[in-house]
Amino acid sequence: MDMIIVAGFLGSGKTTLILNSVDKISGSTGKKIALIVNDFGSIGIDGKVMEKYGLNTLELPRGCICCTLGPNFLDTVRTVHDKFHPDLVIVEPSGIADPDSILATMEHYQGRPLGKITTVILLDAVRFPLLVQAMKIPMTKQLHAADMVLFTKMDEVDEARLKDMEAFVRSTIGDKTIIPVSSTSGHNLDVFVRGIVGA
Amino acid sequence: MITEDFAAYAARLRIGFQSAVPADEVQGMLESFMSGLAMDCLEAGTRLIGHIKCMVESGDEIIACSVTYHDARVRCRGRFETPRKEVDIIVNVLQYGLKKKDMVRIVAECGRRSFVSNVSMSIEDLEIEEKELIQLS
Repeated sequence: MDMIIVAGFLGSGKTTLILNSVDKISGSTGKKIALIVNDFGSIGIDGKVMEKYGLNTLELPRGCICCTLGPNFLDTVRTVHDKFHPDLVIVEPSGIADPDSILATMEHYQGRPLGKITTVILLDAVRFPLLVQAMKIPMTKQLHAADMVLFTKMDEVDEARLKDMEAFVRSTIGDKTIIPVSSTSGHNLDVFVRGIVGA
Repeated sequence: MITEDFAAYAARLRIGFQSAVPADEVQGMLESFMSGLAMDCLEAGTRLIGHIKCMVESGDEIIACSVTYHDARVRCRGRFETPRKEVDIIVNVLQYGLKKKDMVRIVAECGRRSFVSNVSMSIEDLEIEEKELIQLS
């Protein structure tokens, strides 16, 4: 079982990306997919939405899997494996999660050995200037865990914004794959899927 | 966590109308409620809206809406398809700058404002273990 962690700040479009690309991933690879959704709130809205759309989902509400819910997360990964027997588990942490801490938590996983773990970090193109101003350090912290960076909501910004974002990411984490996407229009979702599962 | 200086509030609003309200009208009320939450948070001095999201679940229908930006634009997945006599909304507000008590007040005021008069509305705080029910009308 491989794992993809789809992380990014609050409102960066994690749920929308997953909902709009999970069929493409399973369609192009034939892989059986399960989801683990972590919501900070006491009732996990994102998990309920995904479940409603027919996806194999387990929710982890009331906290953050990078810290307080770390042990629960490990149990949930094992449960997902036993319950759904997926080839791929997609993890959506809360928007305030530190993906590096999730990776550190996964080092304590004692279930059946996992395959590859890939971390995708989403950056909201619409709010980028605001987030750089207000959340630069936390955002940088999330970026450091990235194997791939997606600029979301690309259809709502101009080229200059995407160039600014690319410059910021390159100066922060160097040469990682960057893909601007729009989950709602579907733009570049195929590129993302090819990049993430090689299909 | 990458930040700890935020405040979160989750609540369940139970709205009851005197008679069934057309689907488009309820949709408009819900979007106005969400947009109002963002605008009132900004007016009250929020530093950054992290994510304001809500969910309405009923049978096979699910409507999930969210606001993430200062323009208070509401994005919804799903729409009401049938008239409603009551609506059960779960709302999560996560923002930087305001205290929880501010968000409790804002959610109550926006609920009253958006779902017009002649309704009953109760708000349940989902963040506390011992549930507190505020009956507003």
